[in-house]
Amino acid sequence: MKNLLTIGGAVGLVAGGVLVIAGLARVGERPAKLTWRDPEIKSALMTLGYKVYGNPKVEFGRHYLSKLVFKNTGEHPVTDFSISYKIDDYVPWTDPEEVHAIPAGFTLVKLYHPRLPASVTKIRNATNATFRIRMQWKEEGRPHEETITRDIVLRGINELVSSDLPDTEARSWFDKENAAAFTVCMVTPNDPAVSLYISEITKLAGGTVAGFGGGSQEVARISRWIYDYMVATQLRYTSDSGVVENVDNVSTIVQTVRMPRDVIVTDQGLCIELSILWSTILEHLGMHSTMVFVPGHVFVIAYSPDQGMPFEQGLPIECTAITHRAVAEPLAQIRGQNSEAPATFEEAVKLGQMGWKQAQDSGLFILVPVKELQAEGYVAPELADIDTDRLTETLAKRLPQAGPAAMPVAAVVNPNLGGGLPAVGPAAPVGPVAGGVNTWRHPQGLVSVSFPGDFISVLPPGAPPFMLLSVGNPATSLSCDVMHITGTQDPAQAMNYVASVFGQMGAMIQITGSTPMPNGTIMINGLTNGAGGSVRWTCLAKPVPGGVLLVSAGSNAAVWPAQSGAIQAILSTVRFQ
Amino acid sequence: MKIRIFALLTVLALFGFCRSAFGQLPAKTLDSILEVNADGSVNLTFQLAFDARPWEIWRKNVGDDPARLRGMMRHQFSAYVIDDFKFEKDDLNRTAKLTLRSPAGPDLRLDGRYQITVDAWCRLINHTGREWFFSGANPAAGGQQVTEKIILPANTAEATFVNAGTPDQALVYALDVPAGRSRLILWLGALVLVAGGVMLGAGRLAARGIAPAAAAAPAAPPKAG
Repeated sequence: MKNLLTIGGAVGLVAGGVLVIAGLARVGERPAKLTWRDPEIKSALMTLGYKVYGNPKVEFGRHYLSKLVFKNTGEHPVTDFSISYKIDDYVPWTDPEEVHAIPAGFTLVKLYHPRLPASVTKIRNATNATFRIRMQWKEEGRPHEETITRDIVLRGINELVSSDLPDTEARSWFDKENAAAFTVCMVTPNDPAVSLYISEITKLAGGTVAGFGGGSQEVARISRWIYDYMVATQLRYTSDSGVVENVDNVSTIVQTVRMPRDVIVTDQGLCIELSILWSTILEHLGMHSTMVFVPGHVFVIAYSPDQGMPFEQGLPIECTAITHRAVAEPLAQIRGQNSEAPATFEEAVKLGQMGWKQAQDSGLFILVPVKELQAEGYVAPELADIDTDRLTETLAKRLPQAGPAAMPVAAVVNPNLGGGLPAVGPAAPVGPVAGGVNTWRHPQGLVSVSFPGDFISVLPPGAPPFMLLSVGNPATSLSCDVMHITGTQDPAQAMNYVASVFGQMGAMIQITGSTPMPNGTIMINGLTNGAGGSVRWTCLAKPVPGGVLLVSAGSNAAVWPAQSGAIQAILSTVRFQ
Repeated sequence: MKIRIFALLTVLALFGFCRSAFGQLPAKTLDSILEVNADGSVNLTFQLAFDARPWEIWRKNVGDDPARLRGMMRHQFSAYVIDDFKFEKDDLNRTAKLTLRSPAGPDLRLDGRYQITVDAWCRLINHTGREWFFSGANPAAGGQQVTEKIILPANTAEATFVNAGTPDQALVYALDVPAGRSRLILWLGALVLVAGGVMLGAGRLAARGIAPAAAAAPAAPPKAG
């Protein structure tokens, strides 16, 4: 018996030991094993949208460069997983994304949204780059490492790809244009070149472009000035259909599309470029726009921010109507006769309405609402510096030979789209602005204003310290002042303070009216009577951090009617932060 | 993966193709059921109901072409993984039912728990610990009424709803992981080891118990004479 116990015990000890060792060694279970599906790596990126690719929130992250789907097929966790990425010459190895443990059977998706450097915007033609993915992990404590390498293409800054959908999935025209949203990356309302262009439009309009107040009539009024300026400066529509390219299994149209600044400089553009320019200008002026893609064409719908989406209330504009040949056939339909006369703005709108109706009837259209997509993350890349002086000269030369002129304001009062807008009448002179434009900026960037290059400083010695700028042209009596009144947020109080200080200096300020404007700005009109005579002025007042900024432009009251256009032009350049 | 995208993007995928005007005509209601499995995979079911006009437009675009619907969903949801896709519609009641499966559902948190992000516009209505009910008006779909039911795995432990009312509101849970086979073997081995030790000890004691008895017996006194 005792032997039986002793032998059984020994066997039990041995068996137990074996079982314990087996248990510790996890015999009978599948060890941790990390597997992954074929990596999905985009073959090409548009550098114009490099900020889109770097933002995982855009369209819920679908603009990734790579997607890897990992699965732990074992019955034990995969530990110490990490993944990092590199694009040779552009992005160094990224900080590893770490996962402490991938549970048994768990699937993990890893997307890479590359934060490309701004230098990629200097790429002009498609350029190859090497993309690397490095993964590290542990299976049952044993370290593993894997690197995946692929060649990708970085497209030139002006190369716009219409689709990134594989041919196997593309079935319709919609599929072939599914990257249309990237067009918004070319809308650059803050480009200095665009500011100059709009400044010229404003000049031509006699300053009436400034102060968009909302509503469809305002949209029509300002759009008309834009269109008339384009026609007056002979902006031309050119045609180009793009080139079909195949990269991997994606067959797409690659079109070279220039930024608005390039269209401005060359004074010609494709339909898509003209639409982008229109959207840029409208956005700059505080309006909204939607580009409408239809098969083979793009036009724009302008609308007021308070109108919501433009399906019912927007103003469709056929951007190519600036060139008669582009719209000769439908234009003849509208006119009921063949005529070589360029399309008027109201005809461009009618053409736009026709196009919009056709699009709705066919259902073949893609809307690219600029503001919405910008908010979603489709933002413009950095732009290179531009020679604004040279561009100013270039733009000045394009104005009609009679010189810079203002369209008659009365012609656009109460425009009625349905009944057609009144034709643009002869121009009334405003007075040329010679010698280019100078721009003054507040030291803290609170405001900027541009004025004619022939203005000189007229800040008198002993001027009150709140006067930051006082420039003018003694020959024309035009002048521009910037004042920063601290200690109040009330424009009226600030103006009273200025009046009291000027009063002590022997000048009397008389306020003749004030009008609230969007964004908290107040437009104040008034007169200053002093020893030098009577100066009539218009002032834009806006509360800013630490006080109120007053930007005024004026002239001798006697010559006010002749100079009001130039004064409005100066005020239209005022940009508060 | 943020599961919340399914509710939102299904609406976009169904009605917002290429931002066409039809995006303005979403389903009247959307009821979704999200069933999370222990391995992190999820089964999703969407039940949509339409008014007459949106139904006609929706049918024209995708309702009668489920292959296109699937293709576009895969494209629009390309950041995610969708393996199975089933679709059926009921013309009589203007409803459609969409089911799909994703092997990758909840996010893995650093603390080892799992997380399902819930749309900020969704409010928690009720829960049973395993089943969670949410409701809200989807602002991206014209205020469309959405109900979401999330069913967590059967072995869920410590499910909580965190950051309620914020964009980061989420359902966080852990899992009771059953012991693996190796653990059983380990315990069995330990048991056998102990049993073997006891038996061996008993055997040794038994052997000692006999020998000492003999040794302890008083020696026979020497016979006198």
